[in-house]
Amino acid sequence: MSDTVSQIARNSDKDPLLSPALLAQLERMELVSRKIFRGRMKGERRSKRKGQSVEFSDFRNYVAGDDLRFIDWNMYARLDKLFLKLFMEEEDLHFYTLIDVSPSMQFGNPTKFRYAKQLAGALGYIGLCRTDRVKIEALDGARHNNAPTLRGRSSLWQMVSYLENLESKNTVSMTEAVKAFCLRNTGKGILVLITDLMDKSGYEDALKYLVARDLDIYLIHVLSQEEIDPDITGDLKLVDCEDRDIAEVSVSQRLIDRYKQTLATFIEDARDFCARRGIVYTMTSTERSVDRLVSRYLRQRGLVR
Amino acid sequence: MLPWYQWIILGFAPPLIFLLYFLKLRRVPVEVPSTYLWIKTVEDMHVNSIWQRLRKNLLLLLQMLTVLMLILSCLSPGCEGQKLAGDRFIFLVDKSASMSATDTEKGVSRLEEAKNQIETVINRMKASDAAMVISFSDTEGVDQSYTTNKGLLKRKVKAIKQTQRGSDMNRALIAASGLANPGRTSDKSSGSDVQVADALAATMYIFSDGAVKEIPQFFPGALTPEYRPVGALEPPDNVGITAFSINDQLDAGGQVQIFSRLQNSGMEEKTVGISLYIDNELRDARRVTVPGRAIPKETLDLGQDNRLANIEQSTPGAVPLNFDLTAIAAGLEKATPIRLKIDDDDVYMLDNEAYCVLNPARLANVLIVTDFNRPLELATSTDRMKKLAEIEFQDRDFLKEKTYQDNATLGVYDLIIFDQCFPESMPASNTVFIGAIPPTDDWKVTQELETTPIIYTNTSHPVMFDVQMGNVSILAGNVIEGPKGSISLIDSIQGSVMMIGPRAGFEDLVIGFPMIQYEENGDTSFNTDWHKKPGFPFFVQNVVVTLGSGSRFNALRTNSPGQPVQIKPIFPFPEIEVKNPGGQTETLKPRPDTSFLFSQTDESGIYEVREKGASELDQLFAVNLLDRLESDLGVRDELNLGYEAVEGKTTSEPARKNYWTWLVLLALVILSIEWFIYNRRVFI
Repeated sequence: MSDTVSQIARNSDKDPLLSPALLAQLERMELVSRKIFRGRMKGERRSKRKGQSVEFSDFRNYVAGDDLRFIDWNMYARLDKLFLKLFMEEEDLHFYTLIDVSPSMQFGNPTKFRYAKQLAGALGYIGLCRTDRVKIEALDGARHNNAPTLRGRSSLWQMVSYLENLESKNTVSMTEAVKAFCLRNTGKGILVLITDLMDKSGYEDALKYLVARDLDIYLIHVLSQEEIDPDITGDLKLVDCEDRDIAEVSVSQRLIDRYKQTLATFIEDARDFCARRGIVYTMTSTERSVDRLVSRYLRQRGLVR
Repeated sequence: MLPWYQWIILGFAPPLIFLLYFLKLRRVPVEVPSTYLWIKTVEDMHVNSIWQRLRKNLLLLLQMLTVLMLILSCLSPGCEGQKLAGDRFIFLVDKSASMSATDTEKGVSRLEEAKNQIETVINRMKASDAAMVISFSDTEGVDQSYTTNKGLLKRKVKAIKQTQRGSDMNRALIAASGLANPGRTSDKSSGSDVQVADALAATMYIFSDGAVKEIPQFFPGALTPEYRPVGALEPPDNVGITAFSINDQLDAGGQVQIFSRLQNSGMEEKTVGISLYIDNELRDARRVTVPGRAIPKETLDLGQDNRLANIEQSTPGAVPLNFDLTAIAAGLEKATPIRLKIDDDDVYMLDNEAYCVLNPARLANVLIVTDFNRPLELATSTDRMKKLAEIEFQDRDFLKEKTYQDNATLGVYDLIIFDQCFPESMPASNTVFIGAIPPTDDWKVTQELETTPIIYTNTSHPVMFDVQMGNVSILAGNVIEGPKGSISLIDSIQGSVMMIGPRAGFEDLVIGFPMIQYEENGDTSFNTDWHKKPGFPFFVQNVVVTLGSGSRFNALRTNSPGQPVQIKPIFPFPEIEVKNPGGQTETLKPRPDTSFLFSQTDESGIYEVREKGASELDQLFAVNLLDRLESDLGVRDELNLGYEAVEGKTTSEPARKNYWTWLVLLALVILSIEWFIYNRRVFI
């Protein structure tokens, strides 16, 4: 089984991570944050903060110490009062993508891992096109991460190269990995977490860490078809690919039905958990194409427009 | 039932299957992204894994159910079972003719019903119980000696065949009590009396309708007899022929008559149609009303199970029935079969037909060799004697003639009487020697005697029927001694003066004293006054009838089924064929006296005798049961065994209904369901 999975993975690996058609489609999109975050550098994004862009926002009375360059002299001439002209601040956006790199992501056709990379690449490209600060990280729990912070369209190939070289790692608790990420990155922005949520210790703590960071969080729950509709029969010894845990089951239709019920409950719980914490939850199957996911589902959920 | 250790072994089966089921289950390992959801799916799998598996495992449950059914079937569940007392059983099965009556509740014959009842008892036997099977009619046979093999017992019981014979339980009882009541032996020298073997107590079940002869001398000893009457509670209507014979033509003034007797074993009178067939042609038909039992039903007590008690005290109704055959007999040229038939069917068909054979009159061929014996001449010249025999008188010189020698060798004479003479060699016929002894070493004169009184006459021998010798005087004679097996007919003080002895199939009668004393001067005087007594003509007639085969002249006496029949054909054939009523033929070889012995007379009817290969009939003989006891279908309420009356116990044995076969069937069904589920994966 695992041989077959890796075979499929290899086959799908031959395809380019991001096709030119997809790239062309992505160039027209932009990432939307439901919150305004202070960027470190000016970007192409209008900020709530009044800043130094060309787009006028408002007036206010002059108080001592204000920058004289922003006084509206025309108004002073007309009203004999000093007003300060306020402009919209254009900022860049922190766009983080976290990819679950646990071995369980190596299942499916294409593998969930590959799918996650494609998705991360697609979203990252949108960010790059809008000169957002794009950072894609693997949830490997490492204290020091060599993930590059990318900016500008020219960084596409750097991003793709990084993604291609990303490998599935040993099992790390999702909570630990997220905690490590939070310690490393203090900036605010949009965070897309691509995972299958198959962590026996639970995903709730991990998400709570992220929520605490006041990030605009999108959770993309990737499941392979074999997880959604298992095609197995007989008396089986199911071996967990991560912790080698064994579940002995005699697969019957009843059991399959019950499994689907459990999965549905699991998804519903995750959706509910996310909704209550302001996380946008999207469940997708690896069979759903990335461009469709981005252009339709994520657009519907307001991540892109 | 199984012994305890087998139960223990059987008890290990379910846990073993249980364990094996999990051991044998080879689960295919499959790698999955995460067992997280699967474990959540069977959330309490690890907590109650065994019960969880059991709950999930329909196949195991079905297997356990199958085994449970099989174990239950080994318990041989049933209802209304009774524990049999004792551990040894003897089944005595009556297979006499009356057991063929079909008056049972199920409409099967009494024998079949008895077999079913025995099977029920066998089923109730414990595994360690031993039983033997003895079937009896007028003879007995041990069908199966003591065995614990129930299957064998059932087979042997099933193999018991109905006979057409009467019933005599005596010998069967002796066989049954063989082990239960072992004999004792006494040693003369030590004077001790020891028991040869330990008595093995047994319960003896007698399955019979009670129509058996009296058993006056039987001591049950260690046997516990239990009588199981088989048959209807009330005597069924059955009209049967219990007597059928042709009279002695000589006694009836030339009339030939058939005497028959019809018996009705039912309580009510019954009218039946009777047909008489002569040579298979209907000659007479009548309607006859036969009265019912002498005692009405109301006066009889009801015994156990509402069976009429003491039925034997109420004799069946009977009516005589005669047919005159004089005209037919006069024109008779060959042996003719006669058949009397009751046209109305009833539950017991064996007594609805009776057979006899009417032979054309044939005279016995008797040669008397004497110089002069007036009393003998007188005694053989009666009318009756002329109808019995053709008597030829010759003097002693005739013995030297070739005619005599040829005839004697061929056995032409039925009887030769040698009066004070003897031949050179013994002829092939029965002989009587008067005042002489046969020229063989077997016969000896042991003593001459003077005037002597007769102290004993053996009147039980047919030759001496109605012959009184008490006042007969004998002046002189010899005390004689015959060969082995000789029977003394007249004893004097010194010894026997008249004996009859066997000689290779013939019989020689030797009278030790002459009738007439020949003086040297030619005068004669009587040596005895026997000829003046009425016993003498009877004696001569008895001799001619008994030794001259006089009984063959008229209708042969009929034989009972199973009894051997001695056949003496007209000529000494080298081989004969006997054809039974069923059409089967048996070839017989002669005995030394040129007669044949036929023993396969199990079937009632007319038997045909002819020379082997010949088409011409030599003779016929009839075999009939004609047993009043068998035709009386009233089932006896109790059996008298010796001094003990054994009451009949419930005929309808509390049938143990066995369910084990159903359980096995159910187990098979469950197994099929399991197979279906496993192969079609309808559930798993």
